[in-house]
Amino acid sequence: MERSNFASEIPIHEIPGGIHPTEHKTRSNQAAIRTLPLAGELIINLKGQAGNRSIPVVEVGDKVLKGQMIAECDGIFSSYQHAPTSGTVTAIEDRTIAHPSGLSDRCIVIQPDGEDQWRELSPQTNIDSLDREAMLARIFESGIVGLGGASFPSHVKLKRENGIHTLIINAAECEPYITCDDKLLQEHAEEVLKGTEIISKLYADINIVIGIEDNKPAAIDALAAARESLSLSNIKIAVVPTKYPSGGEKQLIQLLTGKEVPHGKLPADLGLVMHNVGTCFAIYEAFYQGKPLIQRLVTLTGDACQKPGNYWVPFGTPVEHLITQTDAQSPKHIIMGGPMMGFELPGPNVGIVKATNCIIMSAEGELGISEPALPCIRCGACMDACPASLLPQQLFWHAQADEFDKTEEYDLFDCIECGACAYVCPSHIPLVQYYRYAKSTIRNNKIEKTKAEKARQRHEARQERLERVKREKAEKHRKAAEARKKAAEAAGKKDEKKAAVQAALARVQAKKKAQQADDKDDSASGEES
Amino acid sequence: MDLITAVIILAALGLVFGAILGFASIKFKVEGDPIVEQIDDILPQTQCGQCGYPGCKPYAEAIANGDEINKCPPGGEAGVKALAELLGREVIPLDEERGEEKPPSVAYIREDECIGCTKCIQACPVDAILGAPKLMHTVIIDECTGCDLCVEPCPVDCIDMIELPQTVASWKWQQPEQMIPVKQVEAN
Repeated sequence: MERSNFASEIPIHEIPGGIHPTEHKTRSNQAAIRTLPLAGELIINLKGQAGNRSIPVVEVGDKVLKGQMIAECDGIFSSYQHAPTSGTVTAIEDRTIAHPSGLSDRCIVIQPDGEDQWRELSPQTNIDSLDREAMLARIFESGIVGLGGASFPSHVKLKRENGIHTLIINAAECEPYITCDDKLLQEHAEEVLKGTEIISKLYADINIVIGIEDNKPAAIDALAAARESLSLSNIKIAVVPTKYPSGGEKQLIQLLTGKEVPHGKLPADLGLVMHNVGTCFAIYEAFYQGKPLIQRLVTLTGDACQKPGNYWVPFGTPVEHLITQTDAQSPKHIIMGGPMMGFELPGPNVGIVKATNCIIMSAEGELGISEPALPCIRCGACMDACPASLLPQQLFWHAQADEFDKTEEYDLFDCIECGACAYVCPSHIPLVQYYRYAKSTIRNNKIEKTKAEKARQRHEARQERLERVKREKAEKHRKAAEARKKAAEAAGKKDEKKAAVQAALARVQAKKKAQQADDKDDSASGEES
Repeated sequence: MDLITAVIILAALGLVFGAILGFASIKFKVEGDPIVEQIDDILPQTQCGQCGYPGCKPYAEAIANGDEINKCPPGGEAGVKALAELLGREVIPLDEERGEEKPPSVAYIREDECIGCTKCIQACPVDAILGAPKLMHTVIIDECTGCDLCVEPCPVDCIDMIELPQTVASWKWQQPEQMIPVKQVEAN
């Protein structure tokens, strides 16, 4: 593939490992960006981002306008969802989602009315008049998440201001087949740079670097030209040699700054913040046009795809629709994402999500998925290919034996699952799948553990309560018995008093009687006298 | 002379170290039995009593005192393995008499059939059932350990154990198929 001879404007450092797979990029980056007719229904996955599932704010039967908010976020890592076109909400139900599990999750289904009518848009071109909060709020309300692949909400990433000195725009796009960032820059470099400028205004003083691989000469020229025409000379273009996975966040940081993001730390801890070019474009649209994130550029490619290229695809568009629209001939595998890090879709009736940068419709034998695995021969090729300087063969060994604490000791969670190790493995061992297995098992075990801990606390609290109730009951009985005893004693004493009183009364009465008798005698004697 | 010096030095050392040890045994005294805590950490805290003890802690104590490690069906094979590793014992298959390993489930009360007798509330080891006399009861799913103990006391049989459906959040990647090739060789 053609290499750019544009001289990098900042010194480029080295990363360990990496591979040079066949690029397969030319087939999809030749044609101009196109749009497709709207699908018959859009299936919008409410878990289409990192964090919690969004909460629907529309009901079945509601008419929605294009860009209208249809789901709000639940917690800070969640994001807003907007209607990708005007139409009617026909269902809010579980549908198969774009996830390697092939499971179903809650989706909003919209039937387009064909009008494609926007809600009222409120663009904001006077960026300087906005304060930081207002800018972050607009990014948040536009439902913008990182379009590089992880779908991490952008406003969360942008929130931290303290100590950030460099903004890196990731245009490396190192994975084979994918060309959406390349094409976006070729056709919309000015918009991307304007979006970048908006992000830079969130920080008082910031260096801006765009990192791009040298296999995108047209995009690099477009960037340089756009920078010229917008006179944004503070933006540096860093051209890095083509090598997979130099577009990984940590890898690109290492290439551009020479620093490694330490274990358990974030790029922000080094004063760096990175955004993808697609995200910059989305931010541009959110400000200059007032449009929320409702579509993205998707590379449709693969040997089975008859009209490969990059298309603006509204979120929720079923992959089946993309297959028929590009005249794909019964693809053998449908991969969402690239051939290295993507996953095979459970079926074609799955909606496009914010993270979908590429759909590969592969023909028989194209991706070499079915090669049988052989035993590990300890050749160490994976170790040389690992861009994170891990020991893939040790990780594999322990993951295979379910020794999860050992895998953690070998820094399993620093693995970025790039697949370079599996690519070079002469035994065709599906290494990444082992790491994913180990990672997800460890995560599940941790959840189980906290659950068990909670159950134990509740059980102990209950035991304690039962114990206490028992004690209190015993105490009560004891007290009651005591009270009875006292009462009985008191009653005994009372009797004595009563008797005394009665005796006294009797005595008084007897006295009275005696006196009366005396009086009678006296009167009688008086009468007598 | 040398002999006496040596004896005196050794005796002095003995006294000093004895004092240090004596001090340490008081200062760093460990309350309770740490091995019981560690065993209890491995047990799944279902509090189901399938092991024959009234809860996970008593079973942990029993294991520490030499009872078998295979009496906990909710902990499953993985639990037995973890216990064996901790205690340096042999991994043994689960005791079938105690029940079998079941997929995670929770209790569900068919609420219109509930008569409000509170019997299940009294049986629940983790206080996961909510209700009052003569009022309908319900299970707090997030707190339910799926121990089964509420099912039997219910006089109207309105409690079902429902398997928890797999969700995207609880799903995990499977281990790729093991690739040790097994070949059957004909004996001749």
